[in-house]
Amino acid sequence: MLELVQLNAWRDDRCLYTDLSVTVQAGDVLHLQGANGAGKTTLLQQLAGLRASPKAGVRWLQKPAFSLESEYIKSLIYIGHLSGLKAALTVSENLKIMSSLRQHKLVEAQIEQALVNVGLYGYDESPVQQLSAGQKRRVALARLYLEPAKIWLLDEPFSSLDKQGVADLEQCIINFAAHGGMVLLTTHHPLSARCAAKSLNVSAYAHAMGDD
Amino acid sequence: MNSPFFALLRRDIKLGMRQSGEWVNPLAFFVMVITLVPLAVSPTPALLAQVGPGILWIAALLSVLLAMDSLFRQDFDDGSLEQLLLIPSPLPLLVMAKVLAHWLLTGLSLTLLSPLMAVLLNLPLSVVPVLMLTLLMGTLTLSLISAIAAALTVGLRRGGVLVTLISLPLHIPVLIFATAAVQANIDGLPIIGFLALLAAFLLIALVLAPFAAAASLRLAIAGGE
Repeated sequence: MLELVQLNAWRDDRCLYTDLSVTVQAGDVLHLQGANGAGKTTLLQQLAGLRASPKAGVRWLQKPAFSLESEYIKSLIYIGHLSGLKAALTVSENLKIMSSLRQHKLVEAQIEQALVNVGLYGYDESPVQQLSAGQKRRVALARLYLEPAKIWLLDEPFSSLDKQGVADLEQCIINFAAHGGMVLLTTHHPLSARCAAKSLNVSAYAHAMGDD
Repeated sequence: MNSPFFALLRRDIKLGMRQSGEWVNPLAFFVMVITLVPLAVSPTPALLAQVGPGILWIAALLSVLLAMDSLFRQDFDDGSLEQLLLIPSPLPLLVMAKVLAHWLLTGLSLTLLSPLMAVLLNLPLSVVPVLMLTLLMGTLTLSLISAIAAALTVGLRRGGVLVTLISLPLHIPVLIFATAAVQANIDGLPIIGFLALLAAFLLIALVLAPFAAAASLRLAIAGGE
């Protein structure tokens, strides 16, 4: 269970959201909604620990998520706007290195299977710089098939994907949730009903506080 | 000991080898400055031997600075810096791995090239071991210190000059004691004091710089985008 307790975020003097409290249960798909600049990415970054959040603002299994003994960071995969791929390395090198940095051991067959799943079979030896934007996105998403995790934080995962890619990713999210995973994602793409996503409107928490 | 440390070290060395411009350019700069000095100043052996250590060290310092700007830039631009922050391993250790990989390609290759440069500047051969020792300790210290500046400026589009401005004052002590050691060695004076100071600088930088750079990187990521 992932709890968000009275989270708030400010950009300069503007309040993005305040008093945002939500509980995410295993198997939930939470669709973060809101206009451009509402703070969806900021919220995901707070949850990933990339951006400071109030003390005990994020709780994982009844403990503060960012304490030393917490397994929280190990249990999440964050895929942001940027792919995090190294252009000079090949697809399989990128995936292997990302996994070994997170201390997962991969075998060749797993990478091959993940590339089949994201529709990039046969591209394992291609340098990432030769891929198109959509293909790069698919490589980044291949991590979802490779690394064990309990939480996925996906920032605009559908961007630059084609129709088949969108359908595949939705299926992947559904499978993950069915196995007890939690997904928090932002997208302006309408999620199909199969995802059974709950939605959270970040803009609704943008109360003006005090004089501002 | 820690496998993310070595994974990152291997990744950065592999990347460096693929994009050889990153580390060959500063090295070429180092060689060029030193080959041009006798042409521009004077080819008199006696004069060269006198200014040699200073020239060599200035060239080394500038080429390290030239190389450092790119330390975190690429990782920041392609998003792999964000992913590094999400690795369940202490960030200062990862910063250490990045600096070490970078130094192996720049500082170490510069050190290995220095005997040849010493000959070009007509320095006595007996001084080469001391010169290499000062470069070995000195360039690693410079890399560690510049890493802080590179981390502080990574979020800025044009941080190149700032890296130099921020880290240069901290590089000057290294320059002073390194050239003093080489000069003292040429003059037949004891050098152990200078070397001890250089080693002390290196140890302080090794202990403190990764933490400072890691904190700056967190700031850059939180404030970026």
